[in-house]
Order: sequence, then structure tokens, then C-alpha cells
Amino acid sequence: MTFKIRTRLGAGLLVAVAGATASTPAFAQDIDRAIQAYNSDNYTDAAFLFYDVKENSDDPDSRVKAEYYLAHSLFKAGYYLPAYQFYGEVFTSGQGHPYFLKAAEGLLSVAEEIGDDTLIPEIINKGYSEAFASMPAEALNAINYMIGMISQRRANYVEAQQFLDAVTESSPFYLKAQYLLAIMAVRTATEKGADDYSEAIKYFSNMETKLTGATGEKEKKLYRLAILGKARAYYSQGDFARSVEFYEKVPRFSDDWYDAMFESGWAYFQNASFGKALGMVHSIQSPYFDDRYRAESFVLKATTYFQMCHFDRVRNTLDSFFAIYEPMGDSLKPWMEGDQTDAEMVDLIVKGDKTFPEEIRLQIANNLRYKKFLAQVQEVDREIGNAKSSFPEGSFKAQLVNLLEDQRASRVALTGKLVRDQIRREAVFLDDFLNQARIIKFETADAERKMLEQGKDITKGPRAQGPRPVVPNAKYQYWAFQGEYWIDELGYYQHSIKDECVAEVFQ
Amino acid sequence: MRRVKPAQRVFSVAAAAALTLAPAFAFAQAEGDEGEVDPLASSEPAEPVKPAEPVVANGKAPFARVSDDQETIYAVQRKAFLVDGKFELTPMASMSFSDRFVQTFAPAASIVYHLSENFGLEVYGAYMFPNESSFTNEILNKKKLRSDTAKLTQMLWAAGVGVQWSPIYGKLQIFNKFLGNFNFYLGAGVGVGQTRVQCDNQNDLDPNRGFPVDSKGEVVCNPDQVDTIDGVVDQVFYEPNTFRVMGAFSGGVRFHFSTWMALKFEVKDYLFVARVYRPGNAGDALSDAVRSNVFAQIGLSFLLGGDED
Repeated sequence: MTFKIRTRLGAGLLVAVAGATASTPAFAQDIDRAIQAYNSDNYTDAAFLFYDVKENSDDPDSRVKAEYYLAHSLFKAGYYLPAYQFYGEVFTSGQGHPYFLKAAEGLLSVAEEIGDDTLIPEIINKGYSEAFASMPAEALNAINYMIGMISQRRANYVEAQQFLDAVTESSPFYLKAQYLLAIMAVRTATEKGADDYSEAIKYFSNMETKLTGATGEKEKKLYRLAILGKARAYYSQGDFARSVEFYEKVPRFSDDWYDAMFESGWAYFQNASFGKALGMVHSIQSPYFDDRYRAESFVLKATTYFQMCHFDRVRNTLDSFFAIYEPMGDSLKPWMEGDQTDAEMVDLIVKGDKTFPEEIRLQIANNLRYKKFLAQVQEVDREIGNAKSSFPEGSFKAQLVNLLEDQRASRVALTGKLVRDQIRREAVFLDDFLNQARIIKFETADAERKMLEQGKDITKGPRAQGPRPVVPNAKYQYWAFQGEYWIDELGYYQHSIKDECVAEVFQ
Repeated sequence: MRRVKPAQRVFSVAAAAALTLAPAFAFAQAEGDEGEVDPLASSEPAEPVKPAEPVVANGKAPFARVSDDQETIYAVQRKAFLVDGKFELTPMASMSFSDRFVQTFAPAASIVYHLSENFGLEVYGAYMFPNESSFTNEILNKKKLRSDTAKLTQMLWAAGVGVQWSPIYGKLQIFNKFLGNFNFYLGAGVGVGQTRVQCDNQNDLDPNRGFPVDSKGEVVCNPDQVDTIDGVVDQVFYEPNTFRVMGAFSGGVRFHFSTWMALKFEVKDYLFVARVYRPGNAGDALSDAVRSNVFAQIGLSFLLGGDED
């Protein structure tokens, strides 16, 4: 007998998939029921029935078909992680499986649904086959992007470049691929100690051009990353004025604005615009960013004051910094050295703990990778709940729940590991900031010693109010800061600061 | 230059070793390792103004925002709403409020072309619906008293051209939520308008202006207007309309909601010389007055054209 499986693609179009014709009558009945359930959009029942065929059928054709459609039914029913498992089984069985390529497409769909850019790309990378060439362009581009991404993470830049270059311009992965190519160009230039980041800038510019005026959230994010990347590339090659130009292009109030403001502070500093450098610190130290981890802003502030020989202000800044961040460094240690479980580490970031610094918790909680991992844990929880209530008791339900619980455990482990890594990373950074602050403190004391040796007074009396800033034209207006922060002024602040270095001492 | 604090607040006037520490920045992955929170994307809108007092970080040490109170800090900020090169069209509702004898309502309109951010050319106009005020009627009807006739002059319409100057800008916050920009402006202009004056047969009228003559040979407002009720004219007549040159001074404020719309409050004073023929009154053939008709106006401005850059 012949049968057809109806599957719906994106727009609900019916597409017939011709099945094998040979099937023993004894099991044809079972797979027919499964197909009927599938065609009736009853994917939960279909999954259950395909599972039965997969486990019990003596007919190899029905079995292989059931293997794939089990995964596909689960996907359709919203069980993405079991679908990932069963698609994965079909895919890893190799090219010999008649549904090898369909399973690859299924894995890509799961990756898209759950935002996985770690496990599924790894599986696809391992099973990479020349047969992919016959896949639809959209799927092939996704695969090329994923393998490029994996190779780039492993610093295999040659292979990564080949795969990323193969992503065609019409693909939704094209601009992401361009971004990874830009990142690799930056890293290559950095590793070579080069002063020329033009290759990276070329990729970022291409993205900027193509994404200007984008309206989708993902596209806008990519645009901001491109602008930010360009600013960083100019900074890296020492073109600080151009760097500032692009930092200022990052849209105000976007989620990359804070980074842009802070980093532009360093660019202004490098460009000897010390008042603006301090102004950027003033913006990011405003109450609007009180939930941010701002240790480095104190380093920039102290460094700038030091550069202008405002030694009393260097000391004030460092006193505040040490008072806040030295204890913070100590409070991280128990979490790096303790024996907390992965689940406890995840809970730490989700719920917080009074012994753990809130700013660092929020810093990690807002890490995109962490967010993705946590979303996957939450997705497993959702699917476990659904599986327990939707399927009849039996071996299929038991296996499904076990599988999901295994998935949960592995994803909690992954998230917990990420949390530990992030805490270690923050601890290293904090330690570095503390060391930098200690160096500035030492240098300040040394500078003051030099002044005393030259018979100069190091006490700072009252300072006169600085002059008004230059207002470029009537399109600009100026406000004096009088103790209140206005949200619309963030990013526009600048200090009116005078160089207090004594020439004969610091020549 | 002015800056308005929040509603409950005061209105204030304000016309190399280290280089080695500079960092190299990390680049995020395409979907980023360096995700950040949008400071303004929370479900609760951020408060636009926050005081600079130190906060306590983690209950351990105060977070010093400024190193000392002698720091001089400015914000040099691009204006949120630019008007240079734009046309500003403003339909308005207008009402007189300075004239005790005449009450006037008027639709009005203004078109301003902004030559720069703080200077513009204006064309304005208003079509008026004047009436004797209740005060005028009361003293006339009950006490048989009249004001100096020229002061009863009523404006029928006015139009002119002028200039606007916006020297003062500011911003304000309403209910700790809405942050808006505004600017005060002054204007001056010149134009023409038409006026009329109420007449009655108890007063002499100008024989040279075409009034009819009654059986006694006296100029009257209207030949049929001989009947009175208890000696009071029961119908109002006017002398023929008269064109007059009018100056105008204005001052106002516009609040910008967006790049294309603003709310405008304005006070406009129309000035003109009113001369009414009244022979026999105190021996003078003319009744003169410099009329100053002040209107309060409110309207929505629509900004067209121009360049946001």
C-alpha cells in the first residue's frame, strides 16, 4: 500500500512526502495511525505512535521513517529538546539514513527555537557531510555559519573564514557571519600587534551600510555591535578621534549605550580630552546606572585626575574605590572556592544572595550567553511539565521525562559552569582594577614627593569655577550641573578641568 | 538661559604613566558575551531627574559620584527638538482678556518660518467675534452711562507680519515621568485690521459717513431705529467698519512633545489708534483712544520641513 505524510511548512502549505511503499500489513496499521494523527495536527499522539513503531516495528522502512517523524512530531508539538535528541539520533547515524538531511534541517530548526549556538552546532560540525551541498540554500547557509562560528571559537580562523565566506548575502546569517569575520580580523591584527585594523573596519562598515535604518530588534542589535566594533577597531589602531565618532553613533538609551559611553571615556582620555573623559565617567556613575558594575570607571577617573595633577581628587576617587571594591573582591572568593552545586550557582544569579555583590550578579544575569542558557533550562522545565500532563503513562512517557530530566541536568551544569566562569572572570578583572588603582596611588604619592622636593605646595586650596564650555552652535545648549542628574544630559557631561601640573616638576 | 527644575522645585536661572592603564576592549560575539541591560527599557519608566547624593553600594561604602563640591561640570547637549529651517503652523483659539468693554473670541493662526534656532519670521491673523461685555451693557442699560466711545471700538479681524525671537530655553519634568523642552519667545509685528463701533441715536454721528437722516434731519444709525424700550435702544447697530493699521506685540512659550508638534501658549497685544467722530461731546469733535487689545491664545504647532541634522 502507499501512504502519504502531510507536513506543514511555514505558511501552512501542504507538502506531500512520499513514503516507502513496502510495509508489512501487521505494522502498516500502526504507522498509518501515526500518520493519521500527524496529518490531523495531533502531534502529541503522533509522537507517541511513531515511538511505538520505532520501538516495535519489524519493518525497517517504517522504523526509519518513524525515527525521523518521531522527532518531527515532537518538534511540532513543542517538545524541542526531545526533538533535538531524536533528530540527533537520526543525524548521527550518518548519511546512510534516508532522513539524514531532513534531520539536519530539524536540528537547525531546534537550534533556532531554543537559541542554541553550542550543542547543535557541535553535532552538525561532527556530522558535516558533502551531502549538505544538496540542501536548500537557507539550511546550507545556516550550517556554514554554525561551523564557521564553532571554528572561530576554537581559533581555527582559516577554516572559520572558509565557512563564513560561504554564507551568501541573501541569507539571514550573512551579517552575523560578517560580524564573526570582523572579530577574527580584529583578533588576527591584535595577535600580530598590527596598527592596521582596516580589514575589520571593512567588515564592520559593510554591516553598518546594510543595517542602517534596520527596524527589527535583532538587526538593530547587530547594527549597534557593528558600530561599537568599528569604534573599538579605531581605538585599537590608535585613531581615537574616529573611535569617539563611532562611539557617539551608538544610539542613546540602547542596550549598548552604556558600554559606548564608558569606552568613549577612554578614547577621550587618549585623545587628551580630559574634561570629556571625566564627563563620561560622570554619566555612567549617575544614579541611572546604579545597578551597574562600575569598578573600572573609578580607574579612568583617577587616571584622568592624575594626568591633570589633581592629586587630592585622585585620592578621593581611590578612597571611594577601595572602600567599595576591596570588600567586593573578598566577597567573591567563597563563591569561587566553595562547593556549591551547579544548580545553586544558577540560583545565585537568578535569586541573588546577600553575601554576593548585587552589581556582579546583575552583570552576569544580563550576559547574553547566560540568558540563553537559562532560557534553555526554563524551556526544559516547561517541556517536563507538558510531558507529564500530556502523555499516557508508559514507556514512552517515562523515556521522554527521563530524557528531559537528563537534558535539564546537562543544561543546568552548563549554566552553572558558565556562572562560575563569569564569576572568575569578574574576579580577575576586579583584581586587575585594584592593582591598577594601587599603581595610581603609588604614582600619586611619588608625584607629590617630587613636588615637595622641589619646594612646591601640594595642598589644594579652593578651586575657582571653571569656564563655561564652548557651545558649537545654536543647535546645542548647555546646562550647569547643579547636583541633579537629568537623564537627557547623560553622555553630554564634561568637566571644566584645568591642568594643575607644575611644569618644572613634571617635565 | 533657563532651566526649569521639576514642578515642585525651584525655577533656577543660568543665562602618562597613567596612559599605560588604558584598556583594550573586548569584542562581543555576534549575539554577544557582553550583553547589557537597557537602562530605560524597564517596565517602570526611569525617573528623568535624580539627585546626586551618594548611594550605599552593597551596604558597605558610599558611592561617591563627584570627588568634591568644587567640580565644575556642564552638559553641552544637542537640543532635543530643532526648528531651524522649519515652518511652524499653529492654529489657535484666542480670547481677549484686557478689555472691560468688549469681549472677543477668535480663531487665530500663525505661520513662523524659523531662520535659525532662535529667530523666525511670522505671518499671523485672527478673525474675531466681538461683543459688548456684560459690564458695558450693564452700565448702559441700567445707569445710562457709556464709556468713552473710542474705547468701545471692536476688532473684527487682524493680520500682519512680524518677527519672533526665542532667547530663553528650558526643560521641565512633569509628574516625575514626562521630560519636555520649551522655549520662551518674544514677537513684534505690524499689520492691518478692521474695527467697528457701536452706535445709537442718542449720540451724534458723522454726517460724512453715509448714515441716514431721520425726519428731524438728524443723522441716525438706522431710520427704523426710532423705537426704544424705556428709552433704551433694543437693537445694536454699528458704525461702518474701518480699516486700521495695527501693531502687535507677543510673548509666549512652546512646549515640544516631538520633533513635529508643540503646544503653544501666547499672549498677543494688538495696538491701534481708534478715532471716532463724536461732535458735541465735551466740545470735541473726535473721541480718540489708543487701543490695546490683549489676547490669550493657545494652539498646537506643527513643524514642517527642515532638517533634523
